[in-house]
Amino acid sequence: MVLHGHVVVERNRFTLDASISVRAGETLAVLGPNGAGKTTLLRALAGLVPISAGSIELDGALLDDPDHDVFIVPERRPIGFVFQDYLLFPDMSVVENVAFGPRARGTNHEQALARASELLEWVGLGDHAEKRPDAISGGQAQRVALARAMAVSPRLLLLDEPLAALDVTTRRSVRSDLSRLLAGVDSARILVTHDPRDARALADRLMIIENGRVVQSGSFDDIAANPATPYVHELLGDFS
Amino acid sequence: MIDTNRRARRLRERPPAGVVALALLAIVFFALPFLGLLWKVPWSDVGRVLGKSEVRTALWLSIRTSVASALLAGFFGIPLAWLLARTNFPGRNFVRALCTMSMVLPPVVGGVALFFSFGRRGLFGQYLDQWFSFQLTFTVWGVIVAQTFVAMPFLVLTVEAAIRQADARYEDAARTLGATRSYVFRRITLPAIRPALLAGFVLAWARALGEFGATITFAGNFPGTTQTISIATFLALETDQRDALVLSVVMIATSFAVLLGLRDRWMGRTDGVGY
Repeated sequence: MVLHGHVVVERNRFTLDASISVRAGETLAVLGPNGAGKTTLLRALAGLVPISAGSIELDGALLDDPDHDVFIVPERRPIGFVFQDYLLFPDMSVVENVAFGPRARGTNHEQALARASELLEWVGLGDHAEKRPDAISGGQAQRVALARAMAVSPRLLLLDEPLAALDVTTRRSVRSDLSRLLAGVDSARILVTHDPRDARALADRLMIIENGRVVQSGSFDDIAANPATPYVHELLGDFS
Repeated sequence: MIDTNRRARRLRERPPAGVVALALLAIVFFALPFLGLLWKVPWSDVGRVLGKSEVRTALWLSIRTSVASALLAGFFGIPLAWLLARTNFPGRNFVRALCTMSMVLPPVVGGVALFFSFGRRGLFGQYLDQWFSFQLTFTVWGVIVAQTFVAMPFLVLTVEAAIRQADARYEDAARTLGATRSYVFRRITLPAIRPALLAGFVLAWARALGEFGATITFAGNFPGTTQTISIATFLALETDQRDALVLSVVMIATSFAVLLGLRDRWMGRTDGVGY
C-alpha cells in the first residue's frame, strides 16, 4: 500500500469523510458529481487543506494526523499535482515551467533544465520548450503540466479533472495520449473526474463519492454491473 | 450577421445626458485650476528660476528623499501587504487601519505624532539621541521618515489588493512542486503583481514628492537639508509668486507625465494574458 488515508475535512455545512488507499503503480479514479468533495480530497492529500480528523500515510510516512499533531507542508510531500486548468506559470516558458520543481528543490539551473528537457521529450513536446504557455494548445498544456509534476519524481501523482478543460473534439486523442503516458509513470496515481469514459480508459479501480462519502468502490465493470445508488446507475448505466 | 447588427445598435446607444453633463463638469473642475495656473506662469522666467541654487538644492533634495522614501515603502510595505492579503491573524483589520491611517490623517497631525515619538525629546527619539547621538528631527533622515510615513499606505493598499486578486492556485501549484512560501513569493507572487508593484511605487513616490505638512512639522525647513521642493514652493508664494508658479508647473509636468506613463503600462499589461 503506497497511500493509506482517512480524510476528514469539515467546511461550513459540508463534511468530506473518505477512506482511500492506492497501491504502487495503480491508478485509482475518483468519480462523483460536482460538489461531492473530489477536489477537496486531492487538496487534502497534497497538504493544501489540512484535515480535521483521520490521517494520511504515504510510503509508511505520516503526512497529516491532527490527533498526533503531525502536518507535513505541501512542499515537503512527495506528491505531484496536475491541476484542472493546468496552472502553467504564465511568465515562464514551457521548459522553465517544467524546471520549476527541481529549481525550487535546489537543483542547479543547468541540471534542472536538462531534466526538464528530458521530460518534455517524454511527453512529445521537445520542440515547444521555449514557447510561452499561452502559445500552446490545451492538450499540450496538459502534457506540460504532467511533465512539470513528474519533474520532482513524486511517489503519488494527483490529477484533477485533467481532461475537463479540453475541447470535446480533442478529448479522445488527448485521453489516449494520457493513458499511454501514465502507463510509463511508476508513481501511484489518483485521477479525479466526473466523466466515466476517463475512468474506464485511465484507471485500474474506481471509487465513487457523493456528498462527501464513499458510496462504492471496485473495478469499473463490477460497479457498472451493480450500481449502489441512483447516481451510479445514471452515471455508468450506459456501460453495463 | 446578427453579431455585427447588435454591435452597431449598441454603438448608436447614447449614454444618459445627466451622467454626461455631471462628468463633464467634473472634468472642467479638474482642468480649470491648471489652466489658471498655466496662464499665469511667467514662461520667460523658467530658466532663471530653475537656475537658482536654492531651487536646485531643494529639487535635488526632493528627488533623493522621495526616491528613498518610495524604496523604503516598498521594502517594508510589500511584506506588510502580503501579510495582510495572504494570512489570517486576529486583529488584521485593526493592523490594516493602523498602517494606513497616515493616508487619511491630516499630514500635520502625522508630523506632530512623529515629533513626539521620534523627536529629540520624544518617547523613543530620546534614546536614539542618548545611545547613538542620532537625531531625526531637522535632518534629511527626518524628511525621509516623514515622507515614508505618509507615502507607504498607498503602496500597501495597492499591492495588497493585487495580491488578493492574484490567483492563489498558482501559489498552490508552486508549493506542490516543492517551493517554500518565500520562494513562491519571489518567483510566483511578485511577478504576477508586477503592474501593481509599479503603480504602488509610483503612487508612494508621488506622495513623498508632494509631502509638505508632516515634513515641515517633523523635519523643519532648513535649506539644503530639509527644505524640499514642496516646502520651497509654499515659501516662494510669500516672497516671489513667479518662482512659486514655475516650481508648480515643474511638479505638475512631472506628475502628469508619470500618471500617463503608468496608464500605458497598465493597459499594455491587461491586453496580455495575466492572471
